Amino acid sequence: MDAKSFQQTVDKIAPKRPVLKNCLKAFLTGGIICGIGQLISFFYMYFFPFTERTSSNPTVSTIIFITMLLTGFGVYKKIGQFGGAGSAVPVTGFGNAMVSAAIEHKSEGFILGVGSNIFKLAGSVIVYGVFSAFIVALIKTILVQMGVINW
Amino acid sequence: MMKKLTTISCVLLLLSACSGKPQIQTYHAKDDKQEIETFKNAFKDSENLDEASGVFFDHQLVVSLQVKPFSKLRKEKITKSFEKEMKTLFPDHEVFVSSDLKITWELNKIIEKKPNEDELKKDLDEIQSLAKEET
Repeated sequence: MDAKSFQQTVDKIAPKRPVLKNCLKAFLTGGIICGIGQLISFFYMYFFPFTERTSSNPTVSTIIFITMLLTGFGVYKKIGQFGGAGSAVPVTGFGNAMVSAAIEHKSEGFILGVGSNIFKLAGSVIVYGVFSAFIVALIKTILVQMGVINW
Repeated sequence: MMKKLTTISCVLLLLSACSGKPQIQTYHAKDDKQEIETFKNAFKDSENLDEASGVFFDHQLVVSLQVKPFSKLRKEKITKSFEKEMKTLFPDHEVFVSSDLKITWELNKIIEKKPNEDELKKDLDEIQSLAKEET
């Protein structure tokens, strides 16, 4: 059996993925997470001197903190199983990736286990986040210098 | 039948809520009727706004706008155009226009409370320093 016919057999036997249903679940989960985020942002704006623009910083930290707690308690795993990408794409996925890696490597010790592995998954987010921010800032600086746009 | 009626009424309610004219609220420390009227006329027929609030105090005018959801992408442009309009309408005032929700909330608090001049000055300074905050 060559690779092609093997793949054909696999396609025939494997159960069909419910793409539409998964998309809907992801949409709902992501939407609910973002809705909660919006509520937290309103909370910071109403009770503290934050504006629409500045309230995003404490909101992001709060959401990451809540996700870290939920991951530790094992609740986020269930949300992830239901929502798939809907639970990973918002900033909550970042907190989850950090804490789950830390829990996984706890048995290897705090320095070589937790310390060196905590950013195993989230590290790529930081690296490419910083990199893309640098590129965008560079492009914007050039455009501003050329007089195409304003800051 | 019942379902159809509910759907139609929902659509009508949605449409009527979206196409309504902007809600305009003002507070003038010296209660200058003419200035309030000019302010109201400037926003009366605007189709991009949900809400406009303005507070006049000692040659100072602080305006907050709430842009309709469908016009949110052009929020900055709309705010700038109204800032320009306000500056031409009230050339002897120091105009400050913002489309931030927090500023709207704070201004509405002032309009409801109708504070005396000292408090008003303090509140308006606070609002402007809030809007300048970058962090």
